[in-house]
Order: sequence, then structure tokens, then C-alpha cells
Amino acid sequence: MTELMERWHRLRQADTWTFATMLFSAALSLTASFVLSVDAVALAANPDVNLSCNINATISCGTVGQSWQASVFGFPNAFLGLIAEPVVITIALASLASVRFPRWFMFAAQVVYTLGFLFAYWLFYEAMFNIGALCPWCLLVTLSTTLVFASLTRHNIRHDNLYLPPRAQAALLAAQRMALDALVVWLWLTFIVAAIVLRYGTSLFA
Amino acid sequence: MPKTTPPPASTPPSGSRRQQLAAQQAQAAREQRIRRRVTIILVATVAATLIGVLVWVGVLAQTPKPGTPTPGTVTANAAAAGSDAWTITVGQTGAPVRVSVYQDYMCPFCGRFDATNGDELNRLVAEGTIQLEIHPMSFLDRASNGTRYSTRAANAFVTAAKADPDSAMAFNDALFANQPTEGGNGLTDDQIATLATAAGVDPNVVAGFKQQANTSWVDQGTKADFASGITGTPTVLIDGKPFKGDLYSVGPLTTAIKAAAND
Repeated sequence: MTELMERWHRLRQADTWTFATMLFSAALSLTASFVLSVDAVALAANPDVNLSCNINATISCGTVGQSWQASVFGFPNAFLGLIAEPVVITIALASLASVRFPRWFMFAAQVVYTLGFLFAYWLFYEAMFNIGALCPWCLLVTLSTTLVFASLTRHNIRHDNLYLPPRAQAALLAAQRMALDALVVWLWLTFIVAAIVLRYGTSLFA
Repeated sequence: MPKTTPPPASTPPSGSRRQQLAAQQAQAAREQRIRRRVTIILVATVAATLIGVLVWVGVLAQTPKPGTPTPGTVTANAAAAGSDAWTITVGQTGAPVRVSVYQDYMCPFCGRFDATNGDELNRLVAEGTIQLEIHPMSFLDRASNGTRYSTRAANAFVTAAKADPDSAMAFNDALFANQPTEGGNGLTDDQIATLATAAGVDPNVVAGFKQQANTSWVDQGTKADFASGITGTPTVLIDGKPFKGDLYSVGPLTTAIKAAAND
């Protein structure tokens, strides 16, 4: 049992695991962005097209897709995913092939992805409380963005890529050794799911 | 293996170094203890969540679905049954062409279609050229701030058409002529009733709108329409085949219908 737990811990600490999860999550995110982009084009052609993901009044990507928040920068947000996720996939694949990127490069990746992460959660907040509808593909983007962010951050802390003060760096490393990073991600996802259920309750299944 | 680098001048004596090592080991042991505890918590909560979801899905699967309404084709002027059961059909049985219109009362393009081609369709029905099948749909309920305008309007139309077929199309056209903005609150039930009365629907029938007797009919019909391959509104079929021409000007649709009639 203990041995199993230690093995799991070593696996999680390994760079291979980090980049494999990053690759998987980025691929998920790219898929969702692609579907959302296609839907955005279909919605632009005919606002009343019925998308496969319009399940009921609460789970409706048509409603979300037609909101102003869906194209903050004048084009569908999903296009950003089409631009950014292939870069993440490339970084993950190259790293799996033992390429090591310079410190400034990984730091820049962290900064850009953090912006994307914040944007994803701003959109999630808007969908929850202002648009009043959720779209399954957007939720997949929220989830996969979270996972990519978590794996990228874990890697950058592990390799001291974040230009943090030594004390903070040491504390974060210790936290990782205690598997607190996994706990944080798990609590975070649980919190998000609980928020959705509390906000919408049974109307999710109406 | 001993360290090859010589200790810096400020290195504390070896006894204190042993202490340091012991402190490090204690720290590592503490971290491992916490890690184990965290791992156990994680595994337990993830497992509990999975079991919870499985049980819940099982319960959902066993709950019987609420009763489904029986489909009913409403036929005015003794028309034959339509292509699917969730239609309002107007026109003579012997009419050579069958025109099906899939529409949602909240859909602006449906309103544009009705404004341009509604009169043409009514004329072709009156001439006996076509049998007109209306498929009222409600998927744009999402676009009326939760007031379910599409369902309420379609319920009113179906209720009116079932009871008083002769005025159904006039009411249909009135609903489109007074179409609310997509994304707004839609018309109120009172406004819908006023339009129906003005279109000549029997006041007793209008009074029955609020019983919402046909909302599940509309819901089932919408699902059946999507299941049959309809992807959006307005969709117009001529003898079951999609009309691909311009829906928003007078002429192309009539020409296509006339061509189908002469086949």
C-alpha cells in the first residue's frame, strides 16, 4: 500500500507524466475549441440553427454562443484556443522527446497560459451568472484549461522557471512533495462542479 | 560517496552538520507522512465521488419518464394525415403538392419568411395547389429570458388550430406580424390571446390557451422534427424535399411549388 502510494507519487513527479497529462488536456481543449469554432460559424450563418449541444434551456451552446461574451475580441473566443493549444501540444510533445526549453521560454509560456486560464474562468463566471446558460464544449474548455495550467505550473515550479524568491520556491516545492498540488486541483474541480449544481440544480436535466 | 567539494570556510562543525542531516530526514519523513495522508484523502474522495455518480445515474435510469402525449395530426378541410404526426395541416386532401414549414415563433427569419411568402402559401392553399403542413417548434425557448415564448406561442397556435382550423393560418400570420424581439421576453399570454381573438379564433378556445394543453405536444414535435433531420428554422420542404432557394422574396418558392405540381 505504502509502496504503491510512493510509486504513484514518483510517477506524478516525473516530467513524462506532467507532459503526458499536458498533451492529453491540450488535445481535449483543441477539440472543444474546434467544435466551438465550427458552431460559431454556423451561428453566424443562421442564428436559429439548432446545435447538437442545445439540450435544454440551461445547457445550450446556442445561447452562450450568441452572447457578446462569446466574441470579446470581435471574433469567436474559440479561435484563441485554435491558436494557443497547438503551441501547448508542441511544447508537450517536444518535452516528451527530451527537449528542454530555456527558462525564459517556459516562464513566458506560463504567463501567456495564465492569461488564458483567467480568461477561461471569466467566461465561466459570465456563463454561470450573466448569460444563465452553460455549454458542454465550453465546460470542456474550462476543465482542460485547468488541467493544462496545473501541469504547466507544476513543471515550472519543479524546475524553478518562475523567477520566484527562494523561500517561495522552496515552499512550493515542499508542497509538491506533499502532493498538495493534486489536492488543490481536486478541491478546485469539486468546487466548480458544486457551484454548477448549486446554481442550476435540477434545471440541468429538465 | 563522500563529497568531493571542500566545505566552505563558514561551514559549521561536523556535529552540527549531523544535526542538519537529521533535521532534513525528519523533514522528509514529515513530508512523506503528509503526502500519504493527502493521497488517502484524494483516493477516498475520488472513489466516493465515482460511486456517488454511478448510484445516481442508476437511480435516474430507473425513474420512469413522465407520460408522453399521443401525437395527433390536425387536419383542416378534411386533409389527409401529414408526413409526421406532429403537424398542423391545412388545405385539401387532393392537393397535388405538400409543403412543410418548420418554424419557431421566436425565429426572426421565420418572421421574414412569413412576411414575404405567407400570403403566397395561403393563396396556394385556397387554390387547392398545396396542402400546407406547419411544424411549430419550440427550441428557441432559450431566447426569451426564461418566459418560454416559443412554447407558449406554439401551444396557442396548436390549441387554436385543433379547435378552430379555419382561423389557424390568420392567427399564425398575426403571431409573425407581431413577432417580439429574439432574446426579449416575448409576448405575454394576454397579448397572444388578443392576437388570436383579432384573427378570428373562437373566444372560448382562446380562453383555453392558458391551460397549456399542447405544450408537451409542441415539445414532442420539436424533438421529432430534429430527429427527422431538420437542423434549423425556417426549413421548407416541397413534397418532403428541402427547398434550397430564396425564402425571403416572393417568386422562387411559388415557382418551385408550381413545378412540383406539374410533375
